[in-house]
Amino acid sequence: MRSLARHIGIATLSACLVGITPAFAAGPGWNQLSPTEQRILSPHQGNWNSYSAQKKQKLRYGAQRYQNLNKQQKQNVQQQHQNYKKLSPQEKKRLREEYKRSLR
Amino acid sequence: MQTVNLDTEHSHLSDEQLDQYRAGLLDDEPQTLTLIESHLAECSACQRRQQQWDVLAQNLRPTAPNETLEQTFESQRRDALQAHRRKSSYLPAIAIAASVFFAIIGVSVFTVTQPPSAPTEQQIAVENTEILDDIDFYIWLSQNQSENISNEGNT
Repeated sequence: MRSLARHIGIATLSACLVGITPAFAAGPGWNQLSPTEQRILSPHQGNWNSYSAQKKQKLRYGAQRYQNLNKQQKQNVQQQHQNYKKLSPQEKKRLREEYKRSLR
Repeated sequence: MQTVNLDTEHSHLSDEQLDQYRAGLLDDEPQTLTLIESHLAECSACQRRQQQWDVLAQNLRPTAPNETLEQTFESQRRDALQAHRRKSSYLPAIAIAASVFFAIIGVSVFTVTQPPSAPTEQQIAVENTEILDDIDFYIWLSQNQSENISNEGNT
């Protein structure tokens, strides 16, 4: 009888964890984002709830960094993104390595 | 040239007689007609006069020898009108060809000068994701822009 209660307790706890975990793992919902985040991340609004928590966190970090840039810096970042896409794989690799070295 | 009576041998037809003959005024006088025709058959001088007139008449009716002068003018006028119509009949075809040509030129110029279409929402989302996912890298790139360019120039 004690064993049965123990099993029931474990099952209940597991069920609760299974139900709760996705809510945490999925990260914040769209409505929980600040208006600024929503504006920057607006292209993702439709798919936001399907993103993993990790992806949401990365996008929010990016949005936060982006909003702190001034207008000229934002334009530069977009221009660099466009330029980078046009580079050859070798050039992209060289830049990535340079970037990694600069982080050390 | 001597104008003599037809009854006299070695005489020639008068201009008036030849004119009357050519005009058919002697058709009602078979006897005179026979005399003139028999003289024309034998007299080379009168034959030449008659032939000269035929040549002159032929030159006056270059397109239709058997037509009267009025008919000649009419046929020439008709020919001229038909030639004009033939020219006119090409005008619609030329106009259509020109329209098609200019339409093609217009569309080409419009396409070339048209700014690129606005990116779709999906494209914006992808661009946005690429930048935000790697924001530190692109900020670093923009900060090191001049250095990167000079490095690329050296390589």
